[in-house]
Amino acid sequence: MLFYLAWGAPPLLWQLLFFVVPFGFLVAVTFWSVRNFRLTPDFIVANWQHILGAGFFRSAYAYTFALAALTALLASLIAFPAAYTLAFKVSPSVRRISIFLLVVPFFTSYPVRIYSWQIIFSPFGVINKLLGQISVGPINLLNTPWITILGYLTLTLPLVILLQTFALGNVDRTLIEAAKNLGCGPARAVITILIPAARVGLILAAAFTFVLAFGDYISPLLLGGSKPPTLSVLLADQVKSGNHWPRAAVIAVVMVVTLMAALVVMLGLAYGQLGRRRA
Amino acid sequence: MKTAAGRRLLLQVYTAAVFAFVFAPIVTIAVFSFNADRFPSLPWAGFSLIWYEAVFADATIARGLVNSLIVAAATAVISTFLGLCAAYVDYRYRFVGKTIYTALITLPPTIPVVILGLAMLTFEGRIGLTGTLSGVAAGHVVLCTPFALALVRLRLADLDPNLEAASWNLGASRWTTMRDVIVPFCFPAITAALFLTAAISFDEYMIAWFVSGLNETLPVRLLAMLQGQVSPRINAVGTMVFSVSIVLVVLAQLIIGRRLRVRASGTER
Amino acid sequence: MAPTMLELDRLEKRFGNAIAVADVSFSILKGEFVAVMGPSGCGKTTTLRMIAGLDKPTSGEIRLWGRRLNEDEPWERDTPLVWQSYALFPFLSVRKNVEFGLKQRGLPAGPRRAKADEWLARLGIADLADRAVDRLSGGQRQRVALARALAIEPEMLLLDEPLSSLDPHLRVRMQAELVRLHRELKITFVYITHHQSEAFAMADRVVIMNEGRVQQIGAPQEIFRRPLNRLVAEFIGGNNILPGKIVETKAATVRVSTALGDVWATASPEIDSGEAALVIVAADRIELDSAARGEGNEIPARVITVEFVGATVTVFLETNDGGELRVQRPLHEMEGGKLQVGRSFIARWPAEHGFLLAA
Repeated sequence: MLFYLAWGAPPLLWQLLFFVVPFGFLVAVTFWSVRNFRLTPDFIVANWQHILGAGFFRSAYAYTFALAALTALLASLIAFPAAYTLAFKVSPSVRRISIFLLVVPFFTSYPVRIYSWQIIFSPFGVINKLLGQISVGPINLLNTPWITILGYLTLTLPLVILLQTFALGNVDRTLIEAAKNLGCGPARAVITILIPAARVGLILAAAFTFVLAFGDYISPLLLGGSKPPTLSVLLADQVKSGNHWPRAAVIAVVMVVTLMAALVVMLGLAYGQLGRRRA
Repeated sequence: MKTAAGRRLLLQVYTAAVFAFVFAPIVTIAVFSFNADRFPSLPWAGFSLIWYEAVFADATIARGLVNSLIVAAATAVISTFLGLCAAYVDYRYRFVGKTIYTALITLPPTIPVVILGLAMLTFEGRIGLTGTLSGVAAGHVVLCTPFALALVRLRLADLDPNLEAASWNLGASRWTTMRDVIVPFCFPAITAALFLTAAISFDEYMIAWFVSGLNETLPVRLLAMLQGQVSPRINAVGTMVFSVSIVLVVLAQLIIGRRLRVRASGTER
Repeated sequence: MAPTMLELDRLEKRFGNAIAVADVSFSILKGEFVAVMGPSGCGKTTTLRMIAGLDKPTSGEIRLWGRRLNEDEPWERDTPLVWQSYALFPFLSVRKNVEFGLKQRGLPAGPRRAKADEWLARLGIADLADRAVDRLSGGQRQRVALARALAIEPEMLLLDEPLSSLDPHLRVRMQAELVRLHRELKITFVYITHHQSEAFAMADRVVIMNEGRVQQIGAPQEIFRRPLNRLVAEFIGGNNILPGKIVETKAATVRVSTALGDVWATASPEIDSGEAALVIVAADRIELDSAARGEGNEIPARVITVEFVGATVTVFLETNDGGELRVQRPLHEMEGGKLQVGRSFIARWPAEHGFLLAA
């Protein structure tokens, strides 16, 4: 029917043109070469060999992966008590306002927020000034993996709290009441009943965090000092200084494949055990 | 701290601390933007607006701002329109391949922006869109449409399934029904989507960095400034940028939120 | 005799493998109030939707004034529907809702508003004109839905169980209003319901449907007194249905052996002696007496339950062999403490008040 095509087609066409095709193109470009500083259609595997064989790539991969995984874990742990509080321990109006507030930073400028940490932790920043009052330092707090993780947390924490709050809020209250009725203490109820019941939402929140941290460019750049570089930094470098788009494309494709595999595993973990448990 | 009340208080304090962490960067930048001292640190040197004056006088920042506004406006309109189309189709029809259709449209925000940016760069490079604001907007639309889709779809979920049929029954064709029933009904969601997508586009730095070339948007200009020397102007620009985003997002939330409260209380007596 | 306005000719509607409507044919005369009635899932709503053009018949034809209607889109037809859920537009005020159909027909703003106000006044809701729809009570919405459909002054009005969400008190009031409107406006009403009392109270003719097929068409009283098959007899209620076998024929009566014993009923030309049959005896045609008189059918029975519904009493009795009877009498007859559970009576009715249906 013409009507339904007329409405269904525009988004599809746009996404095909500006999402699917560019991606297909990106994969194709991994096989192209750069001759005389110009991108030339070709079919070579040199880009793949160069990148996958490079020591700096492999260490950047390991570093990025480890940092992202650690962030996913830390964010989930830090967010959980807060999400628990919002879901169960505050009044509905406080909950509503909190959620309203939490959405806001999510949509504000991320680089500027990271810059804020940069100046707070810089040798002239607030932290060092305070330490100076007790005659300590100045300590160089920047350019470490930990400060990079702090940046990742700034990016992901609002989202994780929201998703976890939502997941916990959706758990059937009667399950928890039944547990308490049978003599389960609050801490045990949380661990043995609540978390498994909210498992899907909690794992999804962690999965999103992993994806965001894995791909982030700003924190490793501004807080981590790009040493060691993450994959995103490597990618941007290949474009900025080397102008070597095919190599950048290789990094990009490797990243996407890794993330898809990670998502598949995590979704499998989230939904998979539902079947196994019953038996 | 073994009592239930004690535990509750501890949890609330913890949550407040987490919120403080989340909001600290925003507050810090805003506060220091008024600090007369060159270095954003303690002790406080006095209230001053000189950094704002410097920012307003900076031509590159002004240009960046104008570009960002143009891109944000275009992105908001196009992505809200596409979001409306996709939401309506999702609401109304079942068809073969619908899951793939929906996945295709909602996938982009799950892909790291660096990769989206690179893909845009290589592709638009071939078709001559790099270095243009249109090129940036095209990429932004891909990223923002899912948000518009979500907002409109949420609103459509409240649509009485008989309303379209009632409209046809009273003489309105499918197209007229779209104009006279669906769009007016979705108006709050459409408005909220416009604000939200504008906010996302306005702050988007990565796709813009890859694609905008010489026609920098404000976030790209900011990124350059951030990698340079520590400058107190950044605090001023940063605060202005925060203000724009916060206003847009708060407006969007208020519009959607009011609808939800009305729905809960105003029906069926 | 009014002219035939709408004809449904062997309509069939399938959804996948499920048959919603099968071989439905009947005509509707101009100005009639027709009720289509049946249990949930009988196909009445689907039939209505086909008249409105919201579902397309799989086969068969719908004709309006002799012209085939099947291919007309819903918006090309003049068959406004009053919805069960009212389907009022929440983003429009009451007046704007009523104006909607007029706007689609190209009426300019001034005349449109005047006409809408006219109909709002006619339905007694003129003071609600600027109100938002979500601030109305059920009864008020009902009237807005009616005003909206009637404002375009159609030849035919379709109503899909419009009173089902109202409380009983309001429902009875609205029934009277609808009948009054029908008489004043002289337009055709096609009314869908699963409440027998509603259909019988308002309609000139009733179409009874079950499982997608028409079971019986007729004036309410005609159907009530003479259901044509077991389904209809059960559905309209108020009848005793006694399965049995014809044992003897004498003149125009037959003797049927049933669980209540032998019973005399009016013979039916279609059912022969020796065959199985159902004896239908209306509950209000049976009287209860303390002693036998030797007239008609007399069955001794014991009271099991008594139900009081307003001015009517329904008595449920049981015979010695375990058969059941239901009797309906006006309240004033049963007063004086005569009715007690366990008390025995003679249930009596003349043979001509029992008739036969195929088993």
